[in-house]
Amino acid sequence: MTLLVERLADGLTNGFVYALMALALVVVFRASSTVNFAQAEMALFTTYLAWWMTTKGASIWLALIAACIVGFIIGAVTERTLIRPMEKRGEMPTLLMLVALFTALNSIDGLIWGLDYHSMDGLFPGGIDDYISVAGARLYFEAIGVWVAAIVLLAVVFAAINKTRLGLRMRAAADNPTSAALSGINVGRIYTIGWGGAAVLGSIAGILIAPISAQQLSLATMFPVLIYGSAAAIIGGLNSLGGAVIGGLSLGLAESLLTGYVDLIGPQMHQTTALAVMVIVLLFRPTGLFGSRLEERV
Amino acid sequence: MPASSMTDGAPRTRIPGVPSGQRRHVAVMVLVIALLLLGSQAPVYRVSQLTAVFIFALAIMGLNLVAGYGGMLSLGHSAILGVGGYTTAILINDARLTPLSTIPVAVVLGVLAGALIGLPASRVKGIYLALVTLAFAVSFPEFLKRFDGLTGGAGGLIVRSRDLVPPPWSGFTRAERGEWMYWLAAAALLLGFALVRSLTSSRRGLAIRALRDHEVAAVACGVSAARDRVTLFAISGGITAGAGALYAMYLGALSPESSFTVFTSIQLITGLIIGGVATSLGPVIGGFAVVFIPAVTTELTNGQAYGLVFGVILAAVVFLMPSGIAGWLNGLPKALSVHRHRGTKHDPERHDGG
Amino acid sequence: MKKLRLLVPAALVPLVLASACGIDDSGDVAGSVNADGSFTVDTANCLDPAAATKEIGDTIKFGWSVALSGPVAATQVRVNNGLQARIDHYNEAESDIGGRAIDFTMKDDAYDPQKAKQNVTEFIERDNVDVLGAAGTGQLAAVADDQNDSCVPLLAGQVAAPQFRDAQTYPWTTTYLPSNTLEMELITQLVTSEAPDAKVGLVYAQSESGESYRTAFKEAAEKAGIEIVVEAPVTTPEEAASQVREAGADVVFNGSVGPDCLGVPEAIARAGIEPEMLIQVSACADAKSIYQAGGAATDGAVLMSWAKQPGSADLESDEAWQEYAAAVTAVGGDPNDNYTIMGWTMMDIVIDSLRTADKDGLTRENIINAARTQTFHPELFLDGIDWSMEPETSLGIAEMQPLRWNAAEGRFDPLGDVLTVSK
Repeated sequence: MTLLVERLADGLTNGFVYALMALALVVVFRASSTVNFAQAEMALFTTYLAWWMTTKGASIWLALIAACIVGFIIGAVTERTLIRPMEKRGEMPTLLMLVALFTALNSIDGLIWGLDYHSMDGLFPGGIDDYISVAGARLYFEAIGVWVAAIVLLAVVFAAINKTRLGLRMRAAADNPTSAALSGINVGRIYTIGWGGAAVLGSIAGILIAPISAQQLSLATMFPVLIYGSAAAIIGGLNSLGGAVIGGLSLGLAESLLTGYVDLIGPQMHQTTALAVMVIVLLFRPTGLFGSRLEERV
Repeated sequence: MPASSMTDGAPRTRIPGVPSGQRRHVAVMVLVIALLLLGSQAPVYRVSQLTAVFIFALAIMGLNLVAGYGGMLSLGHSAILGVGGYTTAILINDARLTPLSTIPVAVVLGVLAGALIGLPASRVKGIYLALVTLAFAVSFPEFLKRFDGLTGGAGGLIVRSRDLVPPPWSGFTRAERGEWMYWLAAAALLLGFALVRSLTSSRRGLAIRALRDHEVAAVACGVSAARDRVTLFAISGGITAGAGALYAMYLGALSPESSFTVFTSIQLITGLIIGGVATSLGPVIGGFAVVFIPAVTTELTNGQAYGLVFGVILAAVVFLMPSGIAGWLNGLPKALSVHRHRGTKHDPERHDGG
Repeated sequence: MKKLRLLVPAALVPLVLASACGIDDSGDVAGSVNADGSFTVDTANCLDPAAATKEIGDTIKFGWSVALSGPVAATQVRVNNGLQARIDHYNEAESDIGGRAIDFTMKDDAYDPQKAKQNVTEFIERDNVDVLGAAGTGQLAAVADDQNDSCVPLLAGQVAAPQFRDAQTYPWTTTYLPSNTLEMELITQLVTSEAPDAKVGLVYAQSESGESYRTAFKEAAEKAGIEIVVEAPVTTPEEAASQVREAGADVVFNGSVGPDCLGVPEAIARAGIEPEMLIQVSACADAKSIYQAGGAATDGAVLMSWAKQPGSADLESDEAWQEYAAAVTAVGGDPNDNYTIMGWTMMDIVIDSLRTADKDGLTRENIINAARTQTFHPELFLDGIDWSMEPETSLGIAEMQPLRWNAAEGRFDPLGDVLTVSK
């Protein structure tokens, strides 16, 4: 029972982080029809920035705000300078731009902050006694904090998209750019905001995961999050916000329970398991569980 | 991907002064052999570097079939390269076969691996397909670790140099293994080149490109989308796995953590883009890029800047030379003749080679 | 398509013909152990035997292929500081190998075997180096045969894998890192004496090093009659810790490296386990980033060491340490970094081999003969522990001192005596 609770809690913690990353990917996809391969590396950059600020004496919350602002700028500038010019050139050049950004950002992190692992203090108390006991399992405030932060963030994002004027414009621009533009929406600016917002989500995800990641804060911290996040986004359907959340949570839980309880898979096949689920879902539903069909233009 | 961004390597226009047809082919062959002979006379470390260039060029050539002519971005070719490499290494070490005789087996398994990775392509498209292929790339090292009895697990495999001696009929001695690998890789590259050329200029090749550019129209004209895509992946897999077999013979060591990860796929793609997507010379130029850019950045900065330089070059090429260096070279004569016709009139459109 | 159909069979014919025969397995002798225990390498198989026996001129050229970039180069760059500092110290203050200077070059391989091969080929063929170095199993695997065929000594390779210790297979190669088999045997000795009747939880990483620790530990435990109650892979440190707790282990052995050096002890503490003893591998000897950061989770953790530890009280009066610290500071490194200490001792050993070889004339042949039979006490090794090579086992480090982390004082304290394997 203790083991089950621990595994569920671990799965949930990872699942929420995957969900945030998946949500960021979906927001970008709805704007530019591409998977932001550099999403996790943008987040890594701002997480490093936040960590660096805390080593200079800044509070982690101040660092979080700074990371979000810088994240927004990186996302928005990327959209305007690298992605927009590729719009007419199709999927592949856009994706390649992002691959270039991915490689360059990771390298820049290494140049600025070096190659060492850093243990980073999180937003929530992370001491050895900061936990509550449930059925013998210790639920640490760090983990619970991730759940709460993610739930609040998800609620804010959904409210913003469904209840505000900006959200309405975003949905219009994503569903039908031409008619949105005709009705006076500045579609380009909406896309820029979307990219910026996605990078903010990523930044928060990075600051949530780095203190509890097995990789600590290092150049390798965020790549696995990208793999799981994109698998979650694909499973849910790349243009479905709700799908991303469901995809992320179920992937986190499945990962923890399957590798824990199913001996056949073996501990080595960690990422393979998640990706196999993704491929199987795609074979039966080529645009994910909740994604809408892509239109074919002749 | 729109047709406008694609250029074929063979300029159909006749250039005055160059003999046409068969005679031109002979001239090109003579030139290629002369260049190869010249290369083989370079210092030993250069010959070794050129061998790596040929091997990567061959791997990229396989990728080009799928990503260039087929318009399907594959991130899974690191796994196919690995299938080829591991097949050769295991057959040499465990079955005690001669290195050369393992190549056909590696190619056949590469065809199967390519078909497997390509199978989802019959249903899944575009960005979704790219992520499916990514799944294969990420899983491959985990599979190697899972089946460590065969693959040596995380520690990898070593093929001893005494098992990699050139065959007696080749005339090369054990000490001349470097030259032997150079000529073997060059021959494989030429063979791959001829295969891709004959394939892309065949009727099937036209159908595949039609599928890439206007799928609905192509299917309406009787092209079988699913079958052609899987076939393309299979042939592509065979070529890249061939490169993997050569890679194992060249390096004599295979390591799942460092040689066959998704970053290798990214490297191959970057090479292809810099060289020129869907051009026949692009992969060769890409091979040079993949081997020489890190060599140069290491000499200059000796450190972390490598990734940054790689990223910047990739972005610059995508921006400025949409069809890569090969495409830009192809466009050059045309651009020059336009200038001549227009006299001094400046035409910025032509400069980007598009 | 017609052309294609002709081309493929035409290409396959020679390949199929070649497949008719398998490989001829006949080994060649690489060197011989003399009656007095010394080693004589066989230069007859060298690609250029004359180069191996030629006296080295005024400059000794070193070429090191190591990772300077990439996500996994984190600890390597700290080792490199020690290597560079030791070379600088030799050139500035010693120059006692026949007055020769050492020309030392590091080239980045980013942990890529293909780049390592390229680097080493350039070192051998273009730069004509006299001594080589490499780090990482995959990288050494990709260069060892070339380097042995060329008869250029590769000394103190930063690798633990056992295959490179075989003097008959790789006569021109020596490696620095201690054998995992030996380290695990010493650890089981310690468990037997400190925690008899222990129920050991074996935690291991699914990497090359992790699997190697796991195998070696299981063998050593079986020999020593120690019970292993669970083998928990680090899919995540939390999952591994849960399994250890469920199995009721009272001694935990953490066979993982890198970030898991800290991640596993933290997860153990957080799972509510208070093991009688938490044992780490020697590769986790980084006081700064692991034990100081670990707080209560790493207090009392035990590991094997052979080198001096930063923070020890007696270092202030230690002349060798002062020299080391000055040289490392000069290259911008941190003297209190365990990886930098390791780099320094590696190069210390290499330089001593050259000194010894110089007595018979400094040739590549004499260098490797000296390195294969070297006995030497690097000043940054703990007292009572020597570097001792003999051609049969090529262990180098054959003794280790158990240390226990003292969180209150922020340093390692010795735990019992220096341990060794009885012959």
